[in-house]
Amino acid sequence: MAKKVKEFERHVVVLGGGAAGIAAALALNDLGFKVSLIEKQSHLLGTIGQLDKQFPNDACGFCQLRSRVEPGVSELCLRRDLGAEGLDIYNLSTLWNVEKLKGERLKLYFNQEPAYIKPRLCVRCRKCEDVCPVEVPDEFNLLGKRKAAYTRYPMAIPPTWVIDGENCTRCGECVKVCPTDCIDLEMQPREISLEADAVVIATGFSLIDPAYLTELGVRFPNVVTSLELERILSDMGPTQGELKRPSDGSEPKKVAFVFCAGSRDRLHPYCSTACCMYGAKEARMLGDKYPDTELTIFYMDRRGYGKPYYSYMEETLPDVRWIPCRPAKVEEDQDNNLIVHYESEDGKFHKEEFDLVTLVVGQEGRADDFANLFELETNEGFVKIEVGSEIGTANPKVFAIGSAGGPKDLPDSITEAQAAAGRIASLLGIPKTRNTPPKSVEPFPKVGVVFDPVGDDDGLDKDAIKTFFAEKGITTAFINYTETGKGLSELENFIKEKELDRLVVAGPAPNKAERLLKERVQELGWHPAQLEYLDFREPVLWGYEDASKFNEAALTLALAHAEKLRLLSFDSAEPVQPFGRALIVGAGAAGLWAARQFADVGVSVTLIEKTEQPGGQARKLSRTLEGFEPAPFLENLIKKVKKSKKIELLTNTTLDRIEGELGKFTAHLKRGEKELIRGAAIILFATGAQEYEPKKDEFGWGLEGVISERDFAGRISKGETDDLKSVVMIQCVGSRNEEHPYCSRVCCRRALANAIALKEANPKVEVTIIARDVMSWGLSELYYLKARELGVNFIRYEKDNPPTVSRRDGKLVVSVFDRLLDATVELSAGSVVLANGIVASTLPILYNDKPVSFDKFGFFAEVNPKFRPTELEVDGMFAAGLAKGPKRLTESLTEASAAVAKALVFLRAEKLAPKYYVARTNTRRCAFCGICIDACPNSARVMDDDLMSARVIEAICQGCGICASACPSQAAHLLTLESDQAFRMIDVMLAQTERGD
Amino acid sequence: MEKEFDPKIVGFFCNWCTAAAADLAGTSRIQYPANVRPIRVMCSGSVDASYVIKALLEGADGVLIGGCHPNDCHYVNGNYKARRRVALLKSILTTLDLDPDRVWLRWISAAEGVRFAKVVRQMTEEIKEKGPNPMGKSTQT
Repeated sequence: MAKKVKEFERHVVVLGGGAAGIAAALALNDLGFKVSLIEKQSHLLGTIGQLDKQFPNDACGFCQLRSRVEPGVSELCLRRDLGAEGLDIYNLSTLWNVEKLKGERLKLYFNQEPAYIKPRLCVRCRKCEDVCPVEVPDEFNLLGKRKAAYTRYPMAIPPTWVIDGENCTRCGECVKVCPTDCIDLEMQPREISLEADAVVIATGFSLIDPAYLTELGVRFPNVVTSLELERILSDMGPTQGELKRPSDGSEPKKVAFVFCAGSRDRLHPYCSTACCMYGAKEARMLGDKYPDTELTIFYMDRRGYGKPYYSYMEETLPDVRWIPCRPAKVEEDQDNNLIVHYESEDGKFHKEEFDLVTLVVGQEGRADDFANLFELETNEGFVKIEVGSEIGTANPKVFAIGSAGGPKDLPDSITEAQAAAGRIASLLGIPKTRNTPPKSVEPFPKVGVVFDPVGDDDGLDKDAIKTFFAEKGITTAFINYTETGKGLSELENFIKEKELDRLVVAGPAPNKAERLLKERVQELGWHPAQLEYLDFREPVLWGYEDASKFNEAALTLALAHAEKLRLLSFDSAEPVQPFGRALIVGAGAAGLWAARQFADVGVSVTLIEKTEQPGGQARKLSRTLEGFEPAPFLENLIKKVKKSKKIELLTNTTLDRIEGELGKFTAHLKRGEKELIRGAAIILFATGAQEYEPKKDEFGWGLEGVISERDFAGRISKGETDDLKSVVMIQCVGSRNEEHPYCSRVCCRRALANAIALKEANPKVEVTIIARDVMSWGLSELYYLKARELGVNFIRYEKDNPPTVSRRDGKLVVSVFDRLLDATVELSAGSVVLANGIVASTLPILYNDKPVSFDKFGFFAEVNPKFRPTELEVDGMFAAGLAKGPKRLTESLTEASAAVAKALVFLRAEKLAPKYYVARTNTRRCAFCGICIDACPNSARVMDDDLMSARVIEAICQGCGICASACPSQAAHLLTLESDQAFRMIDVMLAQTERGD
Repeated sequence: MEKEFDPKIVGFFCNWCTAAAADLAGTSRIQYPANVRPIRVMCSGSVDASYVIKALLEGADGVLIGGCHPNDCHYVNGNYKARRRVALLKSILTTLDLDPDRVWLRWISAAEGVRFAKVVRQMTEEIKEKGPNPMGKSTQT
């Protein structure tokens, strides 16, 4: 790497431990930065913790954030992984001062409120909570109560209980019951100061308090906020997932959703971005669970502006009545039912009764509280973002991600978080990773079992358990509190004293403890797999309703796991030494930007471009809505890329096919007749997309004076539109229809930019925008307002009744059905501007002789649209920019930075350590049938003609074991759970049952 | 007096969701019958049909496979593969004269402690009604 940096030498402070903050912290930690994650609340997770499922796939999967490269990491869920080395969490901490140091470093001062519980000693037994007499409203579950000794949510991160000092009466009951003496009610606030090389602001948003929306009936019990409904529908929520009205607990049959509650009004003139989608999601969730419930949504625009969002909304449509109006008033009758007054589009007034009304509330910025400390400006309460970026601020070492910089949805927040890691890597440099030597596990083990049931009151018959295991040749010990330092040392002594080389720990649900234990045994020379962690305390001691079954469970479960370890033995594969090069396909803005950032950290890049010159679609773009000029930026970027010694730019070059695997890809390129071969550790696809070409006569395409939006923007900038008297813009041309069922994301914003430019140049020009929904989400709503103020007319049309364009008497005429007037109107226009959408450029790519798969729209398919937004199904392959779906230029750049951050994890590794969570093939048994190839979700299996057997590419394999269960000849097998181990476990579990009597 | 029948259920729980849901239920003190003996697997899609058949032949009164909700799978579509396999397996069980209703596949996410407890309770009760697995060794002796 160019800059010599040591692991954890550079320090980044991440402000805010919500989804974006956690994603940034993990991405930075993966790149060798020391990270301090600061959270104001008692525990991490912010808003995402309160949402069981998120759009666009109605699932969660937050744990998929972590890339999986180290041995053993794939077994770690996020919760356990947040205890990683080099990642410090400070909860209850608030920033109060920032000092500038030399070399653009910053010193941040925090005030940490006392938790009154020493986190290192807390064993999460909940005894303090059980005895606490204080009850206060629960800010997590919203409609319920919590104690003063509490965790924000059950499996809390950091894994410790806290005491809410404000409400605690200092009665001292908790101190008496705490088994580890970890409670200190005299604890004082702590001053923390941290010196940072870079800062990531991920402070998120506050939910808009709808209290001021008196006309919408906020004071009525059956008017709830969308977050309250989220908790009501949650399995762990106040009603355990059952839909119940707050007033009487009855099941509502008629539910209304009011979108834009607190957004797009005088107090919050912007659009809160995520609400249309999450409101639709809640309607879907509710509809799925209660199919008989009648659902109505009152909305202003249906802003489903991303790749899969529009079709998501379309799928929601048939089951829901959508009314394009904001209700005027909500009243309550004597049965607590709600009367909603609204005006339909034809101007008629309606009064309708509902059982439950949900206000879909938006996001409020928090930056006014702290932006001045960084000498940053704010915009509507959010950190002001630099023009030409999505995350950059006026301070080049400070980034604002997610809702800190404007209302955001989850997928964009995560992309921005990872992009911040990429930007910081290229600013500060990153270290090479240390090697982990391969280890094999030898047969003939000596197995021990440690029980850590916490406390002596667990109801286990220790003598009986010890005798039972002794008969089986297994040594046992009871060690309390292995989560704490003392317990850990005792456990280590036990291993040494008994000369064990396998250990089952039956203890508390693994949190930080599992990682600590695995690190400890590795120091003893073990493979981490030699330690098996058995969740015992939570699911058994606390979950079983019959305490007389504890002993039996202790015997059965621990023995089954001990027997599993007894059968454990394997040879580790040789580590892969990755090529020190990245291949980027496509030299548009995203590709160029990624290449430059790779070069910044000293990674060699081959950047190929199929046309004669780099630049792609960005070459054709004019000034953006925010005033960003793409042309000089692009010119400068191309210049830098061409000058860089690290970047090999190959124009007129196409990608023929790819072979190999993560770390060792071989790309066959074609340059004219010549074939070129390049080795690369990772491949980034930034192949762009195309503008939709309307069919002849589609909205008058082909008629004189009908022009595409992008070309029209070019004309405006050249001053060729000054003599126009009237312009009609038609949106959604080639978007949101059967052929292209997605929103192209850029067109409405571009129409607004064009309209504003026209009006500013000549206020007399008539501008009409005919749109289905104006997609000016987030702060760009302010430009929509501006356009309206400037006198731009907006007419809404529906998909099944589109406007038509014709030429009559030498004039362009647009006729459109105006629902407000309930009549077809004709507009004559000097120019008709069509918002041509973005369509995928399909190009077949062969990887190991199989085509790389695309999504249903023809764009590259991310492996997880929310949490792994740039990663493709095959490990080591990434996509960014238009290749992945419609997006703005700055969003493409952000995505490129995010892909760089994820790719650098592999590029900085001297060796890719062998995995243990991996499948293999017994070549002698393999029938060469190919079933496992289709079963593998990650393309980690290939047919090896030389071996006449299927083969696993271990760098790609994620160790799920699906191949092993699919294989008809038991050739495919999984190291973590071989079938002999599973069979043995089943035997033990069923044989031991009589013993509990 | 004859002892009440106490079913033995073998559980195959996905590491990412159902295994975590069991922890969540316990932490939240949401209690459930002690009849399931869990084996943690990486994915519900990795549960080999032979594991289920083996468990039934060894006398398990039921087999509960717990996986992630659709679209939530860590391995893209492992849960769908599990669903397909279990459907197939059930038809095979019928031909082997084993009761297919003793095998349950349920989606239980890591955030569903309540659902975990409900499923375990419901399954335990239904198996109790069915009575012991006729293949069970304990009933033969």
